[in-house]
Amino acid sequence: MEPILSRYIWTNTKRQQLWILLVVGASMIPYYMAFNLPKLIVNGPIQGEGFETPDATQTFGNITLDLPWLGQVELFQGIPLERLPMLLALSMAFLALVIVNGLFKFYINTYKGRLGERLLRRIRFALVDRILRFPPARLKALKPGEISSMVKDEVEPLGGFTADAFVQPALLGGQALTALLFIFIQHFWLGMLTFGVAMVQVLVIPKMRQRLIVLGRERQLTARQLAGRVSDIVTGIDTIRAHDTTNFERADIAHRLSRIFRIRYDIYQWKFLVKFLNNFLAQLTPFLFYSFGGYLTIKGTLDVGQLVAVINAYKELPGPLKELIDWDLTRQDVQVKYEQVVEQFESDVLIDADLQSPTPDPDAAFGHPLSVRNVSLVDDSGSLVLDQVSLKIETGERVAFLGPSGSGGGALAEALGRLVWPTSGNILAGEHDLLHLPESLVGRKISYASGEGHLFDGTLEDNLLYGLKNEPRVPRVYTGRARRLRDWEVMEAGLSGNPVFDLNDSWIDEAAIARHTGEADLLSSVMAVFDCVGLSDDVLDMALHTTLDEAQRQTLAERIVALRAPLAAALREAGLGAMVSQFRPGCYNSGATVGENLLFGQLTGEEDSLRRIVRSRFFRELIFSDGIGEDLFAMGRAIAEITVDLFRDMPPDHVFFQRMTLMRPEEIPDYTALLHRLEGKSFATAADADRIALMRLAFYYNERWFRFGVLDEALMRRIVEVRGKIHAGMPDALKPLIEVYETGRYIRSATLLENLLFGKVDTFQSDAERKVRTVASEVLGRDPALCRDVQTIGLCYGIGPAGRRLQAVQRQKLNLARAMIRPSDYYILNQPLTGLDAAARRKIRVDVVDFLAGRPDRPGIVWVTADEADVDGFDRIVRFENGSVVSDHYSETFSRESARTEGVEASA
Amino acid sequence: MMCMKDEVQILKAVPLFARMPVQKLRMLAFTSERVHFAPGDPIAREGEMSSVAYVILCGEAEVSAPAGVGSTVSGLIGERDVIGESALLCERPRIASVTAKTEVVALRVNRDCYMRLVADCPHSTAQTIRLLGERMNATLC
Repeated sequence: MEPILSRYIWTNTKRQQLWILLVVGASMIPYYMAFNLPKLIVNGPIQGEGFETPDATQTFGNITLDLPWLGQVELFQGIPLERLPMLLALSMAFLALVIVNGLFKFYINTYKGRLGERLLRRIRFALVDRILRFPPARLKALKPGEISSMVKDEVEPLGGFTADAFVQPALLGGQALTALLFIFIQHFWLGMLTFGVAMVQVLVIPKMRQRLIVLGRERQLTARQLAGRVSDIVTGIDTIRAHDTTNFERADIAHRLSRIFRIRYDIYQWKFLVKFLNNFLAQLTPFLFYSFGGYLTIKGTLDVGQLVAVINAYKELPGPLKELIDWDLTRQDVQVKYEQVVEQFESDVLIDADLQSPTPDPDAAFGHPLSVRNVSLVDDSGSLVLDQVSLKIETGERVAFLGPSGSGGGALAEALGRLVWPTSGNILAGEHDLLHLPESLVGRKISYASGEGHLFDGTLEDNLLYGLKNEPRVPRVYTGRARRLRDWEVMEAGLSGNPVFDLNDSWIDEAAIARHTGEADLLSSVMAVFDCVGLSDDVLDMALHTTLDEAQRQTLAERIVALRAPLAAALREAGLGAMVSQFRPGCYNSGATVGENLLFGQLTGEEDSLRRIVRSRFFRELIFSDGIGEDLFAMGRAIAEITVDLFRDMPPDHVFFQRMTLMRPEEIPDYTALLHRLEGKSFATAADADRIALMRLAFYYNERWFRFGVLDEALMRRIVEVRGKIHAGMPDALKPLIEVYETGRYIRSATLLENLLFGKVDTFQSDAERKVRTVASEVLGRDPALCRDVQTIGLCYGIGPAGRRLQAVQRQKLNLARAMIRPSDYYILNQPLTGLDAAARRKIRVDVVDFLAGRPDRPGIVWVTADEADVDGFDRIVRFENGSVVSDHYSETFSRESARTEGVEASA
Repeated sequence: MMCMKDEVQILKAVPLFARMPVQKLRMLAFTSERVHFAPGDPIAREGEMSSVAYVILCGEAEVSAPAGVGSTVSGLIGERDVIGESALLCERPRIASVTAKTEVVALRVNRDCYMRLVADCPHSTAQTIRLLGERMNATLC
């Protein structure tokens, strides 16, 4: 990238810079006219100069230019006006100038702002673009936190400076020179004197500011490192807590902050010292005028008029000079920032932008086989991980790279996936080096997956289809307002050097995927690969545990409710009836909370609804008259005692609190105090707020989960009795707060599974969830359309940043599935399932390899494994040891004819 | 119906937890889940990676270890016995399969929770080490 900011700005914005300079120049004319006008108004019509007689007139608006050689040229003769009309005309002219000046200012500021924003956008894009083009070795050294802080914050001031980069010095320099010239005309030596002091200011001050720049650079560096460190802490918080190194981290942060503080304080000291000196020099000149100029006047070599004129002219000088020096400081400051950022984004090697173009050179072709020629790899620590390996992989071959970790198979797979570049030797597709072929070919013809692929924040589906979004395939059609907005976006993107790709286009070639998987459509393709890696059940699970939103509910609710009866029958048939506690008006449901049982329904707005119900007159009368209030109160008290006892000594951020859903950590002291207050008191004598607090605890209690032993059969029966009374006498005002369990009704605040079952799975039974889900999925399967809708909901599950909401094993499976769904010629699968046990891994491996081998294009498959027992079913086994291939043989079942390879050519 | 208090009594009788203070045992019970196995249900499968152990609260289960594995595991186990206690200490595949013979109610103890509780309980740590030492002795001799 261009190392000097001013040059970068000029190259990218010269036309706009010249235009704005021109506009600023033009704006000076009305600006100075507005200065002169008040004097004309006061002297003329107000004080009466030239209007000595009542009918005297003056010319208004006469425009005469004084041109060299041509003499006076009158452009407009003007209109003769009397005193009052003249006042009005001049005042109107003043108003007009005010408006014109304002409009000029508005235009210039908007224009400058836009110019700056465009440049900022250009720089930010260029930086990210470079990251996308870094070679693998360079990427390893990058710290994500620092890089994002650079792209986001550090380049920000560059935008603001852009518009002033050339206009400001031209303008201020012009003003300063005019004032200086005027002083010279008045008196040569006084001019020289002023010039001398100004030069000291212009030359010395920036020199002193050098140190400020050095400090500024340090400040930027330390602040960036701090950002990197903070992001490191956030990412590694589990490790930090697990190792009890929080205090070490505190020390580190405090140390960094102290350094930043020192630097910043130093900056302040220098900044104000320089400011002091600058002000002093500015005031020194008038001192010289008074003393030296005064002396000359007394001596008689300078007349008083000249001295006053010089002093007046000098008033115009320090302002622009100071601003000019400030501008220079900003320039140096942003130059440093720019340099610092650009330095971090420098790289000796950068992938050629053409290689990453989405639509490649039509002549480029991806040949076969994939040949590895004398490839050696040296890792970052300098040790040789692959030593002169040569081999060929044909399409249609199923190859296992076998060897313990670090033996070379994994390293070669990484090289085939272009995660690392060979230190020597090369990898060819047919005749062409992989690294010189366009990425749009290599990246699509070779799919790579390892156990560590990164997942992006988004839905399950977004992540699975990520590898298919190589180029916009079907443009989105816009109309009306959206069309205008899109046109504007395209124009602006062009002006800032950004690409004009539209994120809203369809980026997925659905037909190609369908051909690849042999399925009818995208959803079936997705489910087919998920079946292979064993994720389909998880997808269903995610869907079943979702609480549907309004739109989903509208399409699904009725069909789900209709499935309740068949599902219940199917569960009974499978002998699983006992695994579900259905909602029955006359029974206590042990899978639900006390509150849900009491109301026989779910609250629509949780806490707020509960508060309104508990405070309602109806409810209060009921609990007081019936005695259930006393029971709930006693239960809540027991729960509070046990919980407080359990958690008394726990720090509020302890992970065990996550299991305690009845109380928040900060409430422990409140409940301790409450129990203390209630000592010796009963339900009748307790304060109202305390009663409600304890009953609230009882409300969310479930004996199955907590097993505190505070809810017995008799109380359960009582709760069911009261339930009847509640529903018989519930006032209309409270009804909308509760969604009652009715067989024909979809419960909005319950999950999809609870709605299907019209009950709760008894998690107490071992494996109940899985068994019930199997039957549920079988019943759902009878209605293919509904089944697809449910799967779609599961695919919308948000997996969180880096897929953190998934288990490690699910992440690996998803990563593998992401490679499988891509139509490629070669699949390089580098120990993709390390998190699974041997048996589960083998099953998925066999399914995945069978799936890929059965594709119409007969792709080549490479599977890296360290497990000797995990190589059945491969055509060929390449064994690695210490970075070399030690054996390479075909299995007996593999027909030699179909493999056009000679196996090992050379192994060191 | 059995409640947390009864679970704590049973945990106290398990050698691995015996030296833990009652307060910690209560927390261990709280952070564990109760599970119910029908006769014939598998409780543990040999070779499977797991991070949980089961303390049998009631019922009987059958252990089937492959040939060649230490004699400490095989045959019938019942109330207060622990299934897969090594999973509480380290990540290893299960060395034996266990199947419920009668109806079994067990407490599923999670390694992460157990480790957190042991971490600030020196008594319990010492007891665990002593127990491991005894077991090692038994297997080596």
